[in-house]
Amino acid sequence: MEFMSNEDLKLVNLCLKGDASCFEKLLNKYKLPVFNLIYRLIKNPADAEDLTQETFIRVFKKLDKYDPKYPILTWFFKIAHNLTIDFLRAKKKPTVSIDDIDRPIELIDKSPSVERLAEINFNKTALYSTLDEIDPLYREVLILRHKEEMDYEEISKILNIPLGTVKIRLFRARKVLKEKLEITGIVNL
Amino acid sequence: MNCAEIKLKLQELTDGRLSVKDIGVVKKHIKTCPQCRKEYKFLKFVSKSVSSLNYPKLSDGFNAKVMSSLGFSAKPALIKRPLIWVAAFASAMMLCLISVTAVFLVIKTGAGGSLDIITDLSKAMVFLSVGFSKLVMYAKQAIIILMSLKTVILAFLDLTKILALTAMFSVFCAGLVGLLSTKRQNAAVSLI
Repeated sequence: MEFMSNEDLKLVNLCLKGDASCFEKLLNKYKLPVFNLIYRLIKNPADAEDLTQETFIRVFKKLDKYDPKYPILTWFFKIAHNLTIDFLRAKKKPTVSIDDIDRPIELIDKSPSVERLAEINFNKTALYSTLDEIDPLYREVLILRHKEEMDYEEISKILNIPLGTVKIRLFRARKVLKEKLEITGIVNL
Repeated sequence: MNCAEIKLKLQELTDGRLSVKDIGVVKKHIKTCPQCRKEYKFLKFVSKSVSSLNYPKLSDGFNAKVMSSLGFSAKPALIKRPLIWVAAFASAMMLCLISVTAVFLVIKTGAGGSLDIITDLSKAMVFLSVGFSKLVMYAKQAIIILMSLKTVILAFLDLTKILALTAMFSVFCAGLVGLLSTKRQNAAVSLI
């Protein structure tokens, strides 16, 4: 488990002493990863920016409750995730319920599709557009794992789900992504 | 291990969570099974592609919005720059005027012209003051048109610092010119 960096700890302590410029430094350092995560979940830049702003306001107000045992970005992501889920619920946007997403995996052998995929090249653009089509919670877990390079434990903490569920969600996210890519026929392995 | 089990292990391999022992088993399987090899290739592709996703851009005033929501003001990093250039230009013009006047006075007194250096200097200073006040006036007007009231106040603080430096430099130049002229006057008197 990665601990909080000394620099971040120093900034947090100075913030708590009332140094606003240190909060702006934290803001500059982490605003893009936070905005990216929210944006990938809701796909609306204006709403994503508002939620990013709300995240940092909440961070500032709860700064004294922050546990320096964990990297600060994990905490930021946790707040951002909760706010975004509330936002999506209020807008009734989720297409699949969380229970549905995390139900046990049924391993179906997709051999023919894999065979079909074998001959053709993938390209990133097609993958990105497919990524936008999958359920936001799947997209979120893929972003946390691959873009932010968080381990299962950190993801589990951010999303407030058990470690096993993180594994399942990641597995299903990749599976759905692959199935969608196969259906479109645009991109192949 | 069969292919279904290997596929589960491939996830862990991609995420760097497989034990050394299992890595050996899975990699051995991948070598002989084209299906699992393709699956692994796909997983690596997803990992690489998602990791190279670009961050979207936030609007320019984002920091200011957050900081003002918290009752702070964000640093106006970009706003101050144009005014610094205006101030620098005004200072450069001022220095040019001082230099030209100084050279003119030295030449005039050196060529046997009026030795009333104090009068000349006074005239020069009046001329410079009028010129400079006009320059400041134009700069101020340009600033007022271009910037918000807050920005103008901030910039004016910078401008004041530069003006103070320029004024100090003017006094220094005037003193230098006076010294030079006095020496020439003394030399002329001693020749007579």
